[in-house]
Amino acid sequence: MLALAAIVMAEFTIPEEIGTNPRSLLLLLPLLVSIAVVYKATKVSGVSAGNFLKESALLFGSILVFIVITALALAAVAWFVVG
Amino acid sequence: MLKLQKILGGVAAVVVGDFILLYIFFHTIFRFFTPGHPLGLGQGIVVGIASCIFFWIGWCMPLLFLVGLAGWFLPGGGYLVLKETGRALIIFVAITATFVAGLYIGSIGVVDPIAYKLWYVVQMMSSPLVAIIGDHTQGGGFPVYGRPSEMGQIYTSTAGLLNLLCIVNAVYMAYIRKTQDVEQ
Repeated sequence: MLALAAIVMAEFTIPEEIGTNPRSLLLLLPLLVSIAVVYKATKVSGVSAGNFLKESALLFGSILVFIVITALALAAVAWFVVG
Repeated sequence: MLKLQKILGGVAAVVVGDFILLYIFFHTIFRFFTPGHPLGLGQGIVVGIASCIFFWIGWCMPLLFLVGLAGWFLPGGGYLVLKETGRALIIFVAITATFVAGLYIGSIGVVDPIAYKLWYVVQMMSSPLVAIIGDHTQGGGFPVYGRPSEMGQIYTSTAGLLNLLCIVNAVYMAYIRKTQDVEQ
């Protein structure tokens, strides 16, 4: 048990290997889920499973769509500038 | 008049209570007790004044104080004091998972009170228990660079900011309940 705990704790002393490629930005999606869940948990009047999940999913989707639109807009600007 | 008083009181309780709480902890525990980082005179005066305000708030508004403190020590703890168990559980799981994910991605080296001071202030908003990690990692004992460092810091700091949002919301909720009780 102690050895298992030591192994688990050792995992937190070595950074993960993440390349500097566009795919690594997908790691921001779990963060987006967390933000949507916590924000909605502070805002909904009564916490019921169905309503809460629906609200959180809606917020997650809205932010994601906004990020995609912003990314496309920035990519378009970069394309116009760089050529 | 009562409405204005309610709004001003709520804003004062939230802003002063929570920020002083974070400020006090950061300066007194870390700058004062950490060897090699003594508290300067100016900082000592600021901490002294902040301590007075802090205890005054605790004396005048014990419930708000308790909610703020519980929310800081344990993510969602403020809601637990207000008997909002479901909300508290969701917030605890979400914030803790985000913070732990950040530590896993970037290692505990992303929490460093000396090398990443500003990040550390934000990470401290998750819980004062972050101090234990900071005590072990200060001085670069666990080096981390590049994308893992960025991701780890973004995750842990976002967890801190989300907890600040929850503290502010829980204190405001406690204040609203208190004023509603008084009005009834």
